[in-house]
Amino acid sequence: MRVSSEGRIVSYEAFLGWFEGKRVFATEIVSSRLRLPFPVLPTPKSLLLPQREVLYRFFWEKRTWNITPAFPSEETVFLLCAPCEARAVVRVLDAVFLESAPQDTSYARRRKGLTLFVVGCTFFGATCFCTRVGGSPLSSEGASGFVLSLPFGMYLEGEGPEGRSPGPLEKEELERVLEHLKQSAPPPFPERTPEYLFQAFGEASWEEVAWGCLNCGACTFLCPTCFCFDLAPEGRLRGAMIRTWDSCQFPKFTLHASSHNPRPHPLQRVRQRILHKFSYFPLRKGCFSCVGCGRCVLVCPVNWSIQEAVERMVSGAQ
Amino acid sequence: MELRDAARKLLEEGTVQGILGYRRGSLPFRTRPYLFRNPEDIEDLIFTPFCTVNLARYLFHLPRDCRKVAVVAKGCDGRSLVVLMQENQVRREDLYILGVRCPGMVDRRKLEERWERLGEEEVCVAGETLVVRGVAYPLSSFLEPSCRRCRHRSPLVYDVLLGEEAPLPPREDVLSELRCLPPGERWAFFAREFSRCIRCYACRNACPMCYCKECFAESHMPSFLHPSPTLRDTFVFHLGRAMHLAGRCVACGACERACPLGIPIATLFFAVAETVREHFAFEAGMDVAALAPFVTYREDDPDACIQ
Amino acid sequence: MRPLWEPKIVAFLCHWCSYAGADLAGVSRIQYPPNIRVIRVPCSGSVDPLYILKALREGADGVLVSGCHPGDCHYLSGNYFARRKFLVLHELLEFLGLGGRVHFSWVSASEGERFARVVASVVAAVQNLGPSPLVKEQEPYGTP
Repeated sequence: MRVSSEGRIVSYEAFLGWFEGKRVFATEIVSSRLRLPFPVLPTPKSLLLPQREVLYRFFWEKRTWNITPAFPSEETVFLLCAPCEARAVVRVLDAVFLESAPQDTSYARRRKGLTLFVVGCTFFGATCFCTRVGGSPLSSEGASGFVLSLPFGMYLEGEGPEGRSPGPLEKEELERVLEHLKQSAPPPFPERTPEYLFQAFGEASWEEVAWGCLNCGACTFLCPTCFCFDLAPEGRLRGAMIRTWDSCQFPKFTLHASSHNPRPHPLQRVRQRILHKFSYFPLRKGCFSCVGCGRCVLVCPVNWSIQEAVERMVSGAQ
Repeated sequence: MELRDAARKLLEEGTVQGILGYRRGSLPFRTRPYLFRNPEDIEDLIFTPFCTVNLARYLFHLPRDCRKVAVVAKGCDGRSLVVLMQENQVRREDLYILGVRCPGMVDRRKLEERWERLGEEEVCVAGETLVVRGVAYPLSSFLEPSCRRCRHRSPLVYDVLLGEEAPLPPREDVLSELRCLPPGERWAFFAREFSRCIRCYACRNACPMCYCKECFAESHMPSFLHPSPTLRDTFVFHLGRAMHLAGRCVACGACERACPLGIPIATLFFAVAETVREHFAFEAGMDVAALAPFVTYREDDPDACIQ
Repeated sequence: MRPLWEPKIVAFLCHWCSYAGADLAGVSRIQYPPNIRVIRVPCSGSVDPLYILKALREGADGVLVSGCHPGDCHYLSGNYFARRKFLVLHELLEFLGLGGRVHFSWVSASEGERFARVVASVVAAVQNLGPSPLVKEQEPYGTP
């Protein structure tokens, strides 16, 4: 990252003023750092793939089913999020719901109305590891506006209020932040991590790696990239088909109608979570489906860390 | 440390194949449950006022070759073990209960809220005071609700009991504030808290008593609730669980501490435990031979609520 | 004038006593409010608290569970076990601030009159409380 030619300085008040009259949300990470007056969401996923979403309504009449699809609005929504979360939308959710065929209609409509505004990070949090998975605390990927909160004001790029260009002192401060970030960035995972992990499927060490996980869905539900969902009808003769989040950690996630369950053991489900994010998805789509925000480690009841698990498995395979 | 010596000895002598205990987590004030199998690893074994997970839960996660296991048990873990024995989920002879005297668990969220970037080394517990950055505070105001109302901080059934005996501080009625509110406001409080629930089932999975092969919350035939987290579905989930745990819940508060959103779910369980105690004179986890309140009855049970 | 809103009440009636009591009320032409939807169960002891919660979830404003008088259970002790469960659920709902929606009663097969009285009092109590706060939140799926 460099000081771009269109970079400008605005005051905090002017920055907030620009959003007046717009529908704005902020993610938890961002709003815990900047005091923002906007409603807080756990991750961008809550907007694009809400936990409860009506896909269609149905009723039974005159011996036939009547079905009315429900379309979400394309209303313009602004979301202030961290660089990792923007990457989760652009690299992972879009790849799954927009760029794969068939396209997900309701996701596409919601996505069309969504404008991402990235708030860059000036430090690495205790659980952050975005640089390990190819991200950057200053990436503006997928964003129409990029802002960095610095002691002297807001440094802004792209869409947003007008401002003045940074002076030499401010440029120096900015350089200092960039240098500090560069120094403290965790190193990326080895390039062939997906292949290593793929081969490590049958390793005995998974048992120890997975031990301790309670198999709850806290990590997957609060993950910005986890996109698995369940369809569950509500009502019998009149009701709606509802899409909700589902988690690969739940025993019923893979349960077949035949009562066979390919992943009955907790260990297999933990392994699936790691391999999907760090092996299967990158092998097919070319990027990790983990953006390194570290929320799963933060919210985990037993402090189980996916980063440590990958590190351990990769070091074993090498 | 006394605990480490005892644990090492157990492993070295082959009395047990593993020790369920805690070790340091990757973040301040976090601990991780761990199954110690090598005497060399015992150096990592810790017991601090932040060992919030109920280890009795992990009896269901043991590898097959671990026949006899030692459990580092504070009061509530010990009571959970008693209930599990009562319900024939574990056998006493397969357990070695390494009882520890518990100072009460400190609510890390309260610490994080009050002090920014607090390091674990800046906090220590001395008797009934909590010393943070050199300043002493009364410990009770930083304890978890479950610990403020705790009656037995040490396990009642154990093989050894380690640590120094300390007088039990007065028990606090953590529900009194809620009970004083008019019903409408109480419901408003619970409705607000329930609507935050994302139904990740962390509370259920952290609970040592929730060992059902199939939970009613995920059952399809019959189905009791919808997987989406609307208020009414969450209501059924939490109340259903509270009813399933009536007379079995040892009020360890592990559910509340596991909740990623910090919803005070344990208040429901405390309320149920108080009802059971008051009307059936029963407290869970006290006696292996006692009958659970719902598998027995008395002809003169209270029936004021029945027309 | 009758009020516009009428509560919906699910009644779990034990086959041996309360259901017969309701039957007696019917054949004796005793008037009682038509707000209850009866579900016949083998015994009040077979009413899992989850049934009651599910009824509330599905949109009932109130629930009535009725069985044989203590000592009269067809299965000897079913209602004694039921009584313990009901007490705990009752106190829990009270604690949540949802008291007055779930009612329990003992009605024998010969008490048609009493059944009508119980239903009337339950309907009046729920009517007083208004629609269930869980119903308000329910999604309307439109009329066909």
